[in-house]
Amino acid sequence: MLRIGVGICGCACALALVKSAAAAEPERERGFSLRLRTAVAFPAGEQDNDHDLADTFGVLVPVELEAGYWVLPRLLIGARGAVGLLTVADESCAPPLECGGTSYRFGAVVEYAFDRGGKFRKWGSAGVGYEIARLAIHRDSSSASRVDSGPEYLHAELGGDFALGGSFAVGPFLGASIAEFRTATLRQGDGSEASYSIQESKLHEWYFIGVRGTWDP
Amino acid sequence: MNKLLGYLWLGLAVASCGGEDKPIPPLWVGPSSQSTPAEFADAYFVKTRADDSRPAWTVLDTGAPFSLLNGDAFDRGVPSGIGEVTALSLGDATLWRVQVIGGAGEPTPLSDGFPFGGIVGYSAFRPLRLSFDPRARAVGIGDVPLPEGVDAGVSVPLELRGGGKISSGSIRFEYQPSRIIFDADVEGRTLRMLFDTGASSVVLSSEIFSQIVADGRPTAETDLSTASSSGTGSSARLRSMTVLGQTVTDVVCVSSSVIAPNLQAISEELGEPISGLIGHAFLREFFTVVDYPGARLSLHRFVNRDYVLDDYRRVGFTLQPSGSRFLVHRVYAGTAAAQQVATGTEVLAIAGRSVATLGVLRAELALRGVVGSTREIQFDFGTLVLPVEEILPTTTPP
Repeated sequence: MLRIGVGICGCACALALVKSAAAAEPERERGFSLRLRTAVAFPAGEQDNDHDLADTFGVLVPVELEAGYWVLPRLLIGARGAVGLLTVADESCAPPLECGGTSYRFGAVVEYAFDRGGKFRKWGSAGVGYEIARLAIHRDSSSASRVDSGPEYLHAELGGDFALGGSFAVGPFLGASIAEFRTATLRQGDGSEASYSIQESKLHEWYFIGVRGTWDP
Repeated sequence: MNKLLGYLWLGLAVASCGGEDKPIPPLWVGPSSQSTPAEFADAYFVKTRADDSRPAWTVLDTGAPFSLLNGDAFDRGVPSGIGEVTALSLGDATLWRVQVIGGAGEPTPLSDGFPFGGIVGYSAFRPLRLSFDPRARAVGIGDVPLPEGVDAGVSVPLELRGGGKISSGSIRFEYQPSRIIFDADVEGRTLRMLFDTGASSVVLSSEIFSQIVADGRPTAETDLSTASSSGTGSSARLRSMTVLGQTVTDVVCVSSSVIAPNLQAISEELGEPISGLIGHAFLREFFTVVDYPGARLSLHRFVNRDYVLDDYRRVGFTLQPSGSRFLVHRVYAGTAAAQQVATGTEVLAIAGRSVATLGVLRAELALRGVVGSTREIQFDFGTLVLPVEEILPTTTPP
């Protein structure tokens, strides 16, 4: 366990080594961590009772910030929030409409570090959260939107980070999420707004391939 | 005259199994208040596009739970069978993801060179506040203000009833409660009737119609068509008809075996007998607002009814398009036209205006007017000046 901490570079690393020599569970092995990631994600499953998610959205390009704390040398607990750009599937947008989408996801995450100290640090994570997908349609100066939202039951990722020196690392990951839209809120062209329970809602998935940067101060 | 009766949904398998599910309505964009010109001859035909298709005229039909579109009338954007139109534009309003039933068929030219495209029903306009203005011949979408020259009117909560499922192959389509039912007083009879902007006339069941004309009042044979069939029927004038406290006299009503399956299907859907349709022969007296999101319906009577063109005060024949030509279809016995014009005669112009340019709807209106006035009509054999006559006389009180 101590060997993992040794690999982390910089002053904090040196401090950790000192402390690890002094105690069985050195302080250095605990501490905050920040991650910034982006990805391309592909949809699967169903948006609602009538539509596959891929009928509505093309790909998701999120930018996600995660803040965590190493509660054990190999175990991090954190919170994450993401904003993403959603492309709209061709079959869901036709003239005279112009369409666009945005995604918001947030939740909690647990990460396990298989190798925290090496040059290539393998890790895996799992979390739960909440997902919001907003589709906007425009015609001339008028716009309307549909916001689907619901729980993200599982968000799992596997990846590996290359140590860059200092407290930084960067590396690729693969991920998948399983979620379910429960509510759709419609804001119509006249500004009126109403929410609907999605009857017989179904699961949908996102499959991610991306890259993240890590800072362990 | 070729009655544009009904445009109702029928001829499709119905299993009455309404439910609590409330599908998400279409999104719509467009001006928050817009008035869209409508071609008008006893129903509102609005220029419609599916995605970026060529335009076609569709009837806005509050009596239809869903939309039935002829895919051949639009050159793209309409699925075959049960499906969705991604962007259905009614005037300047565009609805996103509208469930429709797409069919196929030789498009019938209607007006301005554009064909008849089918009916647009509740599945499309569910999120809209619609207003129907027979005087301006326009349909309002959104918060359209009341026009001048109407009374305070009457406004009632809008209760939507019915609903069910239909099947097309392996696809099942659930349609939502959409039927608007009112009690109507028809010459002292209280009848349950469907509020139906897609019906050109007041329609009565054969049983009720027979009771009404048993007093010997004049009747006339008429042509009827619905979304799925056509045929003939009988017309008569009601002395009076009252709906929501609003009374209209001299209302033309019709009955036909063509309509009977519609009434039967609606009755089964609702679980109660429906005796007829409240159509334009009644509704044309009013500026009508059907506010679906606000769940209100209101009728505002026009103070001056000079705009009303009664379908049985007309030159004594009807027109029917045949390819690019317009032919005399029905000639009413006892009229001046009956003495000089035969069925099948080609009509070229009315009052100096080419029928081909007018289109069938405007040509039909051009044949109507004040009894005693005349119309100069150019036929393929020559020109005649024919009078506007009373085809179906007013019923005198007993």
